[in-house]
Amino acid sequence: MNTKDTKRSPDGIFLESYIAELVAMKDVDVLDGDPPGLNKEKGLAIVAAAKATVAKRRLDRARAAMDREKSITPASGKKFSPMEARAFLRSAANDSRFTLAARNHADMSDEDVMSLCEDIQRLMADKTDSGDAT
Amino acid sequence: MRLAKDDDDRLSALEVEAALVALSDADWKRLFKIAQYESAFDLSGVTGEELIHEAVLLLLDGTRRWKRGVHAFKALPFIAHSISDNWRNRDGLFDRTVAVDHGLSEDTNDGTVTFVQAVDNKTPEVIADGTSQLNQLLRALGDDDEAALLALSWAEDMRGEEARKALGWDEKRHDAVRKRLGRKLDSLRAMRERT
Repeated sequence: MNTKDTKRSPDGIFLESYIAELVAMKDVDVLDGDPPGLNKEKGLAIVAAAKATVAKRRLDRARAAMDREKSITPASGKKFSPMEARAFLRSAANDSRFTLAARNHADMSDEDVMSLCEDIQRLMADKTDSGDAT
Repeated sequence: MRLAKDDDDRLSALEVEAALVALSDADWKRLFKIAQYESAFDLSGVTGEELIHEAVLLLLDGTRRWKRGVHAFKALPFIAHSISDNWRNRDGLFDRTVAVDHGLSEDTNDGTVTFVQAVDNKTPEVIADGTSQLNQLLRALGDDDEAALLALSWAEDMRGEEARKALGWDEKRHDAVRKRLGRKLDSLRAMRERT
């Protein structure tokens, strides 16, 4: 342990010392007559519960993301996911037909990306209708 | 669940789980005792086991990091300590300007490395006004001057033989006081509620 670190508070140093004293104690003294395996069983139950909570939170996040994607429907009638819209914008950014201001759309929200995608789609449709492909 | 990269210096969720599963019965008891001590300062009634649960959860979801090569006794207790501090601050049980986290220094080949970043603004005045854990502990120990002296030696970074010699006690006396202090740390919440 580093004893020169003046940033450590007395509370933190006390906690470190208490831990060191517990580690130095014999197992039999620490267990103090507890039924064998009881503490490990309790510990593993805590790990299992925490793991289940983390898994549930991940699932909830994934479900929320899926619901969000489903709720976005572009006005042009063609359905895009935000991921597809971003891929489309990346491709449009390299297309000489467009001067795309929003080349860096990484910071844009899904809704803004979808809106920009729709505008470009609409523009492309208008140009095609008027026979001007440039 | 994040996966470990070769150059990653923190344990992945799978490695965290494996490290916890590998702990012995006695090691779990040690963790429970430490967490129980920490929870004694939380007046909202949180238990030591709840603190351990939250610490494990934050490690598994990647919110807190467990540095590779660091033992569970250096990772979990200080995360639990930090959580406990944060909960107390959130619940307004203490002044929010009081320290919210502690640095843990650890041995490394090239000197010192801080495992948990210190955000510690405890001044001597703050400690003296009774909001520090140590002061609360000393108050709870009441008239047991020997236990209080041993606690103070621990807070001065002296343990084991070093503390015994500094206090000028023989081994028998030191052992008796150490055991008594240990019992009192186990029942600190009840002691604090009485004082």
